[in-house]
Amino acid sequence: MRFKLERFAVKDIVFLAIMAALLFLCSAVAMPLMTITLFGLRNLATAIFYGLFATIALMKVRKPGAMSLLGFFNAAILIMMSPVMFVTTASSAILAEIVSIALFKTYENNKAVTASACLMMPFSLPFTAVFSVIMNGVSFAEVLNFSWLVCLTCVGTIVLSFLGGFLGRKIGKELKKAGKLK
Amino acid sequence: MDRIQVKNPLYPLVCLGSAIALLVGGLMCAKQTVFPFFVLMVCLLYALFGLGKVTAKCFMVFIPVSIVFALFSFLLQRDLVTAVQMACRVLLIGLSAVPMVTLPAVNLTRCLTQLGCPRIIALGMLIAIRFVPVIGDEVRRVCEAMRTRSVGMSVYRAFIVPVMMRVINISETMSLSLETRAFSIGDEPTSVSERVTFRLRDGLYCVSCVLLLAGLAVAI
Repeated sequence: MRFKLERFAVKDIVFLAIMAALLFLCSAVAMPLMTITLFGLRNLATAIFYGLFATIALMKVRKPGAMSLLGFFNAAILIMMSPVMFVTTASSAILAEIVSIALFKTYENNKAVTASACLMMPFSLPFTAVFSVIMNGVSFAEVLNFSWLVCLTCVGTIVLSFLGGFLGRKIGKELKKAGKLK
Repeated sequence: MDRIQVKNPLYPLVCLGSAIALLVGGLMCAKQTVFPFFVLMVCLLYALFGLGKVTAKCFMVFIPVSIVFALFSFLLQRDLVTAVQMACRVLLIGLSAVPMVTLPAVNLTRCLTQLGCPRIIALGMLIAIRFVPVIGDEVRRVCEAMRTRSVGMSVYRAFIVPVMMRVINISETMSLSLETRAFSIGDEPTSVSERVTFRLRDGLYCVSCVLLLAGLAVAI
């Protein structure tokens, strides 16, 4: 399979933007977790939603660049509250897309869709760590303070992200049967 | 979002830049004694540029929220200083967001279009920002329907599938509506109905922000 750039239609952009708004609403569950300084906890809380909805979004818009656009639109809402979240979300989405496209070349394969959607949250972990160090003026050792808990949140983020992706594929198949997805 | 808009919003890129600069500046001094003065100066700056009412509303929301966060932080970590710092950070997030919150989403889109930003980005950003309350209402409606039918924990079948169906329907109607209005994301020349311009007021606001941050840097 060869890498092919496809032009986005208006309906693709509209769908990705609305999915970004939905992702933003789901990510609000992480707001109360701001009180806990444990690294990766907020990523863990939102991983399942990002995996799920990003998978459905990519199942509908199977074009290279869709994941980056989804991440960018989601980040555009987050910029109103925190520019840090803008950078983290947008960068992790772009990185996830680059890895997925490098591996699979196209989104025609369902594995590529799942990989791209599920890698976004795990990829946001290093960005979160870097920004915690820069913004809070603490060292990496302090950020990764409770080592086994940090391992748990990191592994949990990856597991929940892929679980979300699996659920997303399942729902996507149902929507396909209902004629809502291609 | 419309309820917290001001009569005379600032230039979109100025709002964005000041939100980032004030947040970064505030985070740098959040652990120091100069922080209350910084917050006071930012409030004064906002009041001078017509954002006073929104700042007051922001405080009405974020002071209780920051207290709750501080309490949780104190209960979890048993450290008063950390709890106060947590409250400061939460308050700062709210305060730095004031210029962006008061900015009409359409102004940001117009500004991006004027600056030659690709139309897919401008359109996507506008829809993403404007549709948060709409999607929120849809989610609430699905929750109410679940409650009416006494559906308990079946999140997958009773919640996610209907929400996704609604989202897809809304996006299809919206794209159809855009296409029937001859909207395209091609390279056709476009015009902006109301141009967003950088005015003297925006320049003064920028200078004030720079002076405030310079003063903060000296104080730290």
